[in-house]
Amino acid sequence: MIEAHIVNARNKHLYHREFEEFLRRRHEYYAVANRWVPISDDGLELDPFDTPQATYILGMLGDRVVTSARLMPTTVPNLVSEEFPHMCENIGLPCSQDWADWTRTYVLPEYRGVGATGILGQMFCAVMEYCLDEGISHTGGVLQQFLLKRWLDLGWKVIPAGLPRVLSGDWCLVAYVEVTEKALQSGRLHASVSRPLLVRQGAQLPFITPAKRPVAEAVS
Amino acid sequence: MSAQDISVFEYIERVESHGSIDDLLDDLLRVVGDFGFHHMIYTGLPVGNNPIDPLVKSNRFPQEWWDLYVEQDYARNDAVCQQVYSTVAPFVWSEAQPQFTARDGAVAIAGKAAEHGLVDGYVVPVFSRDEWLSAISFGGPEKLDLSPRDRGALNLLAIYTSSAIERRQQRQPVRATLSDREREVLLWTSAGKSCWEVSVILGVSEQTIRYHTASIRHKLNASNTVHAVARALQRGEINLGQLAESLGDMT
Repeated sequence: MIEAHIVNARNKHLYHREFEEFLRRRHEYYAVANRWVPISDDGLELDPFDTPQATYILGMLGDRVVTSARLMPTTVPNLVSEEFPHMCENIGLPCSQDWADWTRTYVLPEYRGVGATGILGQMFCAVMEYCLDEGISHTGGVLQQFLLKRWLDLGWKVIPAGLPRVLSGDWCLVAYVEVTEKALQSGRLHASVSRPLLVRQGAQLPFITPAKRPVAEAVS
Repeated sequence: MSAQDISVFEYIERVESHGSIDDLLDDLLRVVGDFGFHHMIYTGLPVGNNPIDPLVKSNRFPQEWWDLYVEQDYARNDAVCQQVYSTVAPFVWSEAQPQFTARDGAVAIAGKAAEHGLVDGYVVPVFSRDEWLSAISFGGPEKLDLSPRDRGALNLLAIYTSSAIERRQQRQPVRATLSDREREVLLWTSAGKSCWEVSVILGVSEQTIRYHTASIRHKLNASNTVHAVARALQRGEINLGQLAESLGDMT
């Protein structure tokens, strides 16, 4: 089972090696092997949304980063708002403190297995656990169509922001998952995750600025 | 958004609320009726020489046609079915690629389907919850001219519906699962080992292995070892990685 380390602007220095390894492996896969993104001089794969507002979840097995995800508030420029706002015709472009843009879901090729019980299922549970902890109500973004079924199969309620379209040859859509305790439980059940996965080290940065946190969350 | 788009998103909102799978399918067929479809099927795809029938999850194809399809084992040469093995991209039946429509009997199968009210259709390959290659296919009496938006809408309908069907079906009582020992025996036999060889490898009597293989077939409702392997894969009892490992000495 992975340990899902929460990495953000405050504790990034504790994860220098892991973070760089993660960016290097992404670069090898996306830029060098598949040519989906340009090859960079430093061998690291970064995009315009790798900003101090981003929170990373690094899934570790021992000292290896085997999976990752990135969450951003939808109130700052994000992949959906900058590149795919036209794909949100059903619900409009999300822009709210408690709606998180979820990108860069990645599993090292050698850890991609079959079945819901794999590393990807564990990362999905880690994202849901983090979102519940932080008072996020919905998380999602652009995803390939086949991943939508993986989310639904976990028993998650998923809101399609718009209709799927073909992006670079693949059917993709923008969709958001409702964050609930029930979703975490059913996700854990189907992914065979028996315990919390999150690990927090060093100073933490709340995803939602406390003053702006919805009242209901503060009370509960 | 068009009225058609709105009806698609409204269907998705109520997809978890139907009283039964039949109600869900009635509702789905009403929505896809706007796109020209009267029928649908959700099924797993068979491996090897296995029949398709046991893999069907929900079926609203004309009964006579489906009986014929199963009886004649059309899945083996049906261009639509065969193309699903090679692509996860959804496609219109009449746009199936030449290498599949050129198969022996493929044109005749399409002709027979048309006689049963399935002139054209749209198929969305999906992986079932247990990672089995499956497809949801919509059929209708007219040749189709689907826009990219129509196709996106149908993809969405197919994905939400297939997941809802599977989750409902899985709420039914859990079937017997294989023990670790049975899994081990199945993997060895799938690698071509005889009962005697497996008994030597595992250091038990040949009779014990025979007992295990009988129990495996019974639990998986399988008629022979190939069938048992296929069903064990389908149910997620074993996975392709384990199978590849057990076949390692043969490659």
